[in-house]
Amino acid sequence: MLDYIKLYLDFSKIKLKTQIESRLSFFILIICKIVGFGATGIMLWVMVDKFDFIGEWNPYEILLLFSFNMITYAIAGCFFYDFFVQLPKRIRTGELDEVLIKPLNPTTYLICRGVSAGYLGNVTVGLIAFFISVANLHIIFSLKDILMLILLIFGSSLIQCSVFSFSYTPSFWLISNNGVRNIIGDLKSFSDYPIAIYNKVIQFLLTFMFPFGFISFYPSQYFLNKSDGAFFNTSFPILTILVGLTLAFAGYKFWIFGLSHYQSTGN
Amino acid sequence: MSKYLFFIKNGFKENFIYRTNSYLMILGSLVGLLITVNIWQALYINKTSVSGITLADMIITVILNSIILSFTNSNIAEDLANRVTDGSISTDLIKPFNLKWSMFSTQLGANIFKFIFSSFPILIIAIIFLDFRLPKDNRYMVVFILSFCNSILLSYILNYIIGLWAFWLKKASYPRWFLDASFKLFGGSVVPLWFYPDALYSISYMLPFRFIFFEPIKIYLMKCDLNEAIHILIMQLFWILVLFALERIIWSRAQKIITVFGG
Repeated sequence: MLDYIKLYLDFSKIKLKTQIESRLSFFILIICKIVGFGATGIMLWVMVDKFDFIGEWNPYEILLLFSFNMITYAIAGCFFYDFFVQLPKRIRTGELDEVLIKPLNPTTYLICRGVSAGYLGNVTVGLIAFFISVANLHIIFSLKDILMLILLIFGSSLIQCSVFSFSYTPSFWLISNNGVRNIIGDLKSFSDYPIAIYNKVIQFLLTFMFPFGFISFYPSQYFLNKSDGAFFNTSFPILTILVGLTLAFAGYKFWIFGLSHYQSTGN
Repeated sequence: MSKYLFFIKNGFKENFIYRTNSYLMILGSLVGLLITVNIWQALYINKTSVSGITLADMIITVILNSIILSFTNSNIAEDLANRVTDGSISTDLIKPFNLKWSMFSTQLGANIFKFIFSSFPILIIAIIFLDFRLPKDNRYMVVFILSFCNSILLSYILNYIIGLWAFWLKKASYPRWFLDASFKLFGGSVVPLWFYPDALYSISYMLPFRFIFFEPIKIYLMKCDLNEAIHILIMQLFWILVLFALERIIWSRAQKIITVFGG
């Protein structure tokens, strides 16, 4: 296990170095992401601010929701973006064949190679939104709250990781996984807003079927002392961690299942 | 002219290769519509009108935004940047057609595809369930269609200019992020300019982006008189001319860089 960690760190060091090797393009990438996601955040705030509330949520509470989404996506992306997003290309070009004959477990190898520094931009936007929100809402974090924050971000990041797996693993079977990826992305965008504003059927789906509600809505409720939503339960914030672990496990099994059905394009 | 028609057809076909994806796209855009409509309904609870805009106006705005987006969402910038960085632009330049217009035509084909598989279904649903209506005055409809054509051209030329950056940056680094962000922030593609705070409104007012989304929609909703609508058309043409001139300038500079690299 310790060997793996050392391996991971070594690989990451090389990967990160190559990423920032060309300073200018790395800088532009980060700026692009800050501008892109910053614009989304600003528009979200502008919209809710003009109307005072969406559901029971005020503009700064929406910012907290947004920052949760942003930060956990960045954490998941930092470790798994490259792993999954490159998969269709690796299958098409036969690069995956190369990976399979390496003297190392392919999953471990790909995870080791997959770390990405490009999420610095997302994290920056997420943190700015978080601090603006916390400062304006005068939220005071006790020791327990800080612990909960870490656990909830962990759980929610695991959900985001599993979304990557479910979006990209189908490319083992499909020539183009864009359709599947987009539809999952569309469903996930429900969780950009407090899910209490949707009708009960959608809320049910987002809580029990496609638990995107646990990415940001239920965790934010904990810090805002909110109890809106048709299926609200006080155990939901804690449940986030369980949902995260379960989905991450399912996502992992799905990936392994896909990998075992891999047929080389043959070249 | 006919060769450009061929490009349009090609752009359409390229997108239609993966049939299943096309049908999933319809589903996805309906989900998107459901979310946006739900959001505005939630915002309008206990309010009949905000800044003179009713929920019904807003629903029409959402539908029109989605139609305009399907026509202006383009890969021109990335495509051009890729051609520059991988060097294939050198062969593009000796082909017997204009690179810019061939790219625009291919993109128009792709956008027609996007319209059919993403915003046309939305339009149908909106007419049946959401009381989507045409402007009461036909003259406004005519001006809207003209301004809509202008906004497509405006977005393409903006894309092309952003793509030209690749000559200096040497990398096709996500040029689209900048455009999408500008459309959102200054164009009103998510929230119309009526709801903007003063500072953001004054910045947006100076930039061309609002002529792609907000101003055509304003005409459609008849939120301005006919004179003002004509004025919007003139302003769009003004920006198109300015941007084409800018593109010529950047292009002539870029050509010098190509000769440096060539050989």
